[in-house]
Amino acid sequence: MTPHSILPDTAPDFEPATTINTNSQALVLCPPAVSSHPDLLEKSLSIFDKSSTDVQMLDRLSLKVVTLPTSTYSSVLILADPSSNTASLELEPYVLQCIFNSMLPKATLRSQEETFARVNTLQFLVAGFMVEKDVNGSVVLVKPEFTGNASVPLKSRRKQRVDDSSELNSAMLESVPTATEAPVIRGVGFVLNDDDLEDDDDLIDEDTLLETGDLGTLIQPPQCRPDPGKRRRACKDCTCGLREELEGEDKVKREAADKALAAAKEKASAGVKLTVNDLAEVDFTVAGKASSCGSCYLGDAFRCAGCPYIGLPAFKPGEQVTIDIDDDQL
Amino acid sequence: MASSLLAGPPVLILYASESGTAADLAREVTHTLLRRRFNVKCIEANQLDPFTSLPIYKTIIFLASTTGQGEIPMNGKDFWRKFLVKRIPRDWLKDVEFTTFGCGDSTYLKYNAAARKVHSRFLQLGATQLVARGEGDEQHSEGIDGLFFPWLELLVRTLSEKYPLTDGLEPLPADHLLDPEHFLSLTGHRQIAYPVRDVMRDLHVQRPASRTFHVFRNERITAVSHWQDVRHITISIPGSSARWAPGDTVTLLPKNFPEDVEEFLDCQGFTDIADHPLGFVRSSHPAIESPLPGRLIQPLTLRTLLIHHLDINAIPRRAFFSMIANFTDNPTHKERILEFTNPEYLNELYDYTTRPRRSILEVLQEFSSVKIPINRLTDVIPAMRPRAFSVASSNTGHSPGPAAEGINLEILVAIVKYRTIIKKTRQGVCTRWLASLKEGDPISVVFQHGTLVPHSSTELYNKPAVMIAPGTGVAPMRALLWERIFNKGHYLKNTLIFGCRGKDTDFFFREEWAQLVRKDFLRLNTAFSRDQPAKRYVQHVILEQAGHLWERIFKQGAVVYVCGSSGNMPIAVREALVKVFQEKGEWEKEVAVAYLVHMEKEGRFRQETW
Repeated sequence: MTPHSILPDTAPDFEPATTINTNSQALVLCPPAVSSHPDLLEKSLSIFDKSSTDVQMLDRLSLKVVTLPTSTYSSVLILADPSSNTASLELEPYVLQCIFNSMLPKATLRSQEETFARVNTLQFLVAGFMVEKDVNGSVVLVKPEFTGNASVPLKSRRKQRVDDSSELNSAMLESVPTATEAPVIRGVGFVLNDDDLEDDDDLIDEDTLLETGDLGTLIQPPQCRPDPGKRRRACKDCTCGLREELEGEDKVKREAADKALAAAKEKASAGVKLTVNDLAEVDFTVAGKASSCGSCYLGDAFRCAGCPYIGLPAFKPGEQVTIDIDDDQL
Repeated sequence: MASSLLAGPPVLILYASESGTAADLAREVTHTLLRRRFNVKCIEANQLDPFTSLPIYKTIIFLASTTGQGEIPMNGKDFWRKFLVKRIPRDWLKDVEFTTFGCGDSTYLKYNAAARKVHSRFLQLGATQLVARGEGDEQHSEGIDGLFFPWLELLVRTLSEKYPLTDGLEPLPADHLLDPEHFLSLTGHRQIAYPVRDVMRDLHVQRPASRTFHVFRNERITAVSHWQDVRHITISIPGSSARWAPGDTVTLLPKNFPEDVEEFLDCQGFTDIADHPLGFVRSSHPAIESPLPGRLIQPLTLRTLLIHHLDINAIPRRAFFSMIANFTDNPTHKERILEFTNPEYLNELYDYTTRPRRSILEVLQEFSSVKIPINRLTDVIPAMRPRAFSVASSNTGHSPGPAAEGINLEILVAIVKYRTIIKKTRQGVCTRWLASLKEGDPISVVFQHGTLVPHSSTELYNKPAVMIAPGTGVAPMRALLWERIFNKGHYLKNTLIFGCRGKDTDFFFREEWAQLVRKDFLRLNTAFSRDQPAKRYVQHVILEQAGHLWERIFKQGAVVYVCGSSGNMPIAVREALVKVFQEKGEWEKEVAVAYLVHMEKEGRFRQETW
């Protein structure tokens, strides 16, 4: 264990994100056995600046007795387990994810254990780390700048097999939305497994969001007062009679139009060939009255309110019009 | 678009939509922002894992309809459950600006509850409100659009001021056609030979988890003299190859009729190429995913696409007119089409389309100069949507009446047919297709688990049941009743309060109920609204049966089910129950109301209305 492998990396390529704090915060993680070797712990910690270094026990993290803050540390060090030289450190996915979330983008995670990275590579990749090597060839884990799609979604983790690491790598390289500056992605600080959501106790009561929650501000409609000239709408299962009233209006219109069409049909069967121009000029409800718009043939989009052709399809100018009054039974 | 030309950071638009309205509005927001050169990503809420992906975006817009009991629609439920996790730190979204828009109906008890909850939760998690939230109301004189457009305008103005375009760059004009992200193209010049005789009847879209069965019977169960045609459709399930529980639904994807499709093909000049092979190209990283399903009908031709995937009888929305304005060179037509896109003329658009229920096909036949290019067809015509129907039969295989080998899946369908100012009768797309099904016709169904009924192993299920289910609402209750009776006999207590227009017109399953009542399996109380001068509904029956209901509900802990048409019925039922509690419990009204709320929280008041 050479000294420089446990020194915090203060090389200039390493900038903390501007939105959090400007001082480098470090995290030292201790395997359980370290607590029975306090002198070792003191020695390891002596090289750190105590005011900007947090120390946590891995087993307490694993038991969720403590939590880590999100997006805080620029370097993390896992101390060696003093109880055994050959022990390889196994880190649970939950703990790894906590550590990951507590790190700033571009922050590094190192271990004093040499066997560390070789055994756990897959787990690191799945948690979102990039695996790199430093100048001596020891393994350094780096939290990438954009954590978005670069980490494998939590849901699929369980289904991965150990020998599928090449698939994982390509998943990590999926493109991520570009941004003009390095965003700080706030993690939630915990990991959720598929069955964690089965229990409603893990969720807040959504009714409280309405009862006591802040509903923000609501946009006011431009004209709050109902315009007397505007058409009204009836509710789906209207019980007040408005629906019947509106349907009645439509029915009256339809009947008036049908009447006009019936008159036209009579004329047609009497041998008078009607072209569109004729129809446009004659109002059948009042003998001899001329139509004012001449747009009847264009279709409902162009017809006036009282048009006898309302509800009929458009017809082509000059076309001989066939008026079909009969309709299928309702 | 090159990154340096984009305004602002990426914007995320999420939607949770029941019938497609919120999804359509999300699409409009997306296109509006794309024209302003924003980098936009629009996805269905469930497609996003909030924990890993939400905070990447600094601007988030959420559009949601409300369904069921003030709930988030199905396609947002997974997202919502995660979003509600207690452990999420309250400052998680402190760098996020957001807003929401709700699609609602003010006749519903929990008006826009879903969107409000979403908005509240975003604030609770530390996000900042970008602009005021909006609430659309179906009952508004201009419908949901009436409040959507002012909100959209405010949103766009605020975002544009916050993230102005780089110098010299203008937003794209509103009628500028954005490049298609997904499009059709002809892949061959010769007519294909279809592998089946009837491309409507014998081809089915392969929806995920869909199963194909056959129609055993399609029977009208309302009196012929009655104005409404309600069908009892029986689908035979061979052996025991499918299982379902009461409260589950089946979704059915309707098809268009060949004659309508012929009219469309003719109208657009596609007849000569109607049966040529077609391909569908999808962009790999689109701003919005195509609304068409992952697997399209095979073989894919214009004809089969129009029969199975494009809702040519849907009522066009404003965005439809914006698009088709680009596809005509007739100045009169174009002018009128553009007027319909003008917010000033929203009531004219309503009078032309929504009020008379005019279809896209009819509009295109009227504006006959409009010719939609093939590669734009899927952008212009909305995708066909499946409709859900409650299962009306029990899985136990003991459906009364003659049955085919195996078990019967039954549904009740009220055929939608009515007149508006348009001469040609209006028909519901799905019910028209269902009405046409004949014995032996294949039909593709997708089962969907429902939450109306608790699992049969739970304590709740085994309590006495009080079923308030007028009209077609009785469908899921029939499934529940048969299951309870066949599995538990007289052990479980059942009360059914049924309402309809007349004893002799639409008293569904009359003989079945009579049988069950005779054998003491069921207590039945009825309300026939038109059989006497005074209107009589289920809420009147509730008041009359106060003693019995108090005994069951308060003393025995019964579960109350309310099923049927949404709107006034569930409200009136609740009011009647409150009156019963007041009377029998000698309670103040507040106490009675609180008891009902308590029942809801306990799961003893369960509602499914449509």
